[in-house]
Amino acid sequence: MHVLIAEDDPLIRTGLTEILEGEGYHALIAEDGVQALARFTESRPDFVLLDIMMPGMSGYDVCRRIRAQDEAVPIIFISAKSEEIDRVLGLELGADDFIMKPFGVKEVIARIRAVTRRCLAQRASAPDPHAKPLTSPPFDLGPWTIYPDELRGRRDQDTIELSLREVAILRLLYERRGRVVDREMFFRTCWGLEHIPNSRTLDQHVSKLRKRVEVDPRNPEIIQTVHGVGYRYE
Amino acid sequence: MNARLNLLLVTLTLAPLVALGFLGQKLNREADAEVAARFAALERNRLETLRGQLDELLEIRARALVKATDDLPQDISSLRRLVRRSPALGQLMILDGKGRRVFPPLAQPLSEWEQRFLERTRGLWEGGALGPSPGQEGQIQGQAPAQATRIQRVTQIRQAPEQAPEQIPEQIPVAQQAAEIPQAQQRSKLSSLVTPAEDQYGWQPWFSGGGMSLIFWRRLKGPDGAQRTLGVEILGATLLSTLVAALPETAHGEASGEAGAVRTALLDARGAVLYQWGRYVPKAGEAPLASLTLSAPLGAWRLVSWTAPPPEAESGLALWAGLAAVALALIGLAILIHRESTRAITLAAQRVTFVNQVSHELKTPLTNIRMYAELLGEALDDVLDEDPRATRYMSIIVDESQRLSRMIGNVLSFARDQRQQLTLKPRPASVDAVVEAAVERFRPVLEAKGVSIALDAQAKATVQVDVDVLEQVVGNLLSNVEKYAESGVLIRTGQGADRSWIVVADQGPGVPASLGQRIFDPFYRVDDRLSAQASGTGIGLTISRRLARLHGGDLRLIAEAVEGYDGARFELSLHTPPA
Repeated sequence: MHVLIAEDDPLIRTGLTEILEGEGYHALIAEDGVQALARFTESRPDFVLLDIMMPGMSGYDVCRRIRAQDEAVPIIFISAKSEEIDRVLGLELGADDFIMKPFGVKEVIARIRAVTRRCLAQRASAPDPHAKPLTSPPFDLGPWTIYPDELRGRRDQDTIELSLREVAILRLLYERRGRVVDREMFFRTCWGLEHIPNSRTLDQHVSKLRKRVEVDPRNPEIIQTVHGVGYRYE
Repeated sequence: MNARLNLLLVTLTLAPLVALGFLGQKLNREADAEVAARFAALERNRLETLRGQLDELLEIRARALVKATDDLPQDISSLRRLVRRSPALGQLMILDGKGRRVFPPLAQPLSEWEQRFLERTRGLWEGGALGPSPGQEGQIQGQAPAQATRIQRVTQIRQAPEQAPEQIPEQIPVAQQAAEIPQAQQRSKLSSLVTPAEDQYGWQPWFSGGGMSLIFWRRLKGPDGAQRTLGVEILGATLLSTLVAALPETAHGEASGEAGAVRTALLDARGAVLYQWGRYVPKAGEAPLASLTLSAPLGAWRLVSWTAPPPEAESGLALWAGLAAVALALIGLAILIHRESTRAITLAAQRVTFVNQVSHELKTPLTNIRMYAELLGEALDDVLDEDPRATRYMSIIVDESQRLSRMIGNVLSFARDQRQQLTLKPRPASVDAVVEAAVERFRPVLEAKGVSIALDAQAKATVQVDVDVLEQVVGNLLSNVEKYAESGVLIRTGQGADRSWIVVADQGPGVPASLGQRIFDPFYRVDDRLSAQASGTGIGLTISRRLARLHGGDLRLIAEAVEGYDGARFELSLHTPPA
């Protein structure tokens, strides 16, 4: 999924980019309102993270112009302005959610995943055939059932929250169950060809997944390591 | 608002001054009236003194006439000679006891002087004798002029000194006498007033030719022992010159309008000025300040007095000028105070705006600190697992950034509350979920301090609640636990039909009962033991209680210990209708 991040502060912009890309999104960057509008028009992202106070054109104006082009695309406002009037104005303009500064990584991830779930649910029911590839039916992975459109996995009464990328990793392991999935295939399938992270990035994702899906992460039974090659799901 | 305030300010300043002005003017007028009344009384006293002098003058004149007529010659020739040689006597007339004229003589030819005298006094002679007559004693049949008719009864009667004073007829005002006596009776003036007693004398006014003369009369005995009535005519000019001699001289020099300048005049029955003195010149039609009718027999004349008015207009002008000066001074003072207060308000608003702005500006770097600390924690996940120090350092950074976030949140909420802009945004949520999330955020730092956490969550239902408000208040309470608790904290939640409550009780020094209310005051901080080790802005509990009350609940300090937790004990209650 493509996400447009419009934020004038470079550090916040970079941090949000890393968070979103870590989640499995493809980030589009805009440094001001005018650039944000141009990027949206040319790239049509799946949703937009929009700072309110930006040079050139405020987030409110960008939101108004985007809504003139696309009434459905989710827009999340990011702002230090927490006054009630700002929230009301933003929601009246068609914003889907607000993230108030200072925010934590978990809060951003939770909001983005919530918007993504709504987005995927809409696409699953939409007649647009282009939207279908982003969705997939649930699949079983050991004791877990993974629901890609919900970005969740369930086992009995337990529920875990998953990112887009984690769903993609688990789905790749599931589709190639019994076989070793090498690092290149992970990168090519789950990260895309244009973005090649270092090998440690894959290991970190797997490590975090094991902490949630494995009974004993130090002795994994679902996601097994094939030393020197990659990982395998039996 | 500003215009209304200014209008109110000007009204409040001017209204009392205008009222004061009118009151002052009224008092001035009353004072002027009082002064005028006092002036009038003084003038009346002065006129009464003058009248007394004139009365005395007439009395002296009468006594002189009595003395001059004590030894009158008996024959006609001698009487005529006496009249010619004694101008002071004037023309004499003598009536016998029956009122018949004895002199000027009836049987002899009359001189021209006597004829004119008889012409002037025809009213006295025609129709009857001057004096009492049998059966109709003292009746005078005469045709007096209208003016005379009104006043001819006013005859002054003097008694000889040996007579008792009570026998002197009381002087009666001219108008009253004229009203009391029928016209027919008035014509018998002398007969009704002049009793046939000896040694009586008096004055009788007489009008002829448009002027007033006086006739002095007395009773005396003739050579035959019979009663006679003697009359002496004093002509008006003679009378006036006599009176004027006793009055002040007419002032010479320029007329004066200065306050206190006086004009006094002697007026005849028609209001014509007979004599006047004093430098003040009254305006045409100006009413006199005092007026006094002279005593009989001059009752047809009156003394009047005008006085230059006090400078009333000037005093009124001075009053208004003074009030205007006071008004200007007050308005200036009010403007100064208003400007100072406006400046103070503006300054306070600027400070609030500044704090607000700074708080907002702090959010961006704080976001970066917090976000990158968390990202660093994720990036160093493996390292953190192996090195507890790194974990602690990382959690400190995250915890402190969260604490700073809470403080900024409190400052901004406080600023919004000051501007009365605090509002609620309730949405369906579980109270327990919010409380548990807050507890989890504080768990690392509390456990690091050795504070054990006991969570008894009994508010699981989804209700309408402002999650931000709940997070902020619970965060503030747990922040206080972090600062002050020593060994443990109990967090207990509960729920009713439309109400949820959260109790946070710790094991620590607690809050003295005497400070149970003050700790909710803005910027109040318990010093000494409690705050020696703690930092804060002093608005956490203030804004927490404000938010709780805004949410239809309250935040209060619980007096009794909660299951062994005897430190600070707070209960937060919120109105949480079912979702």
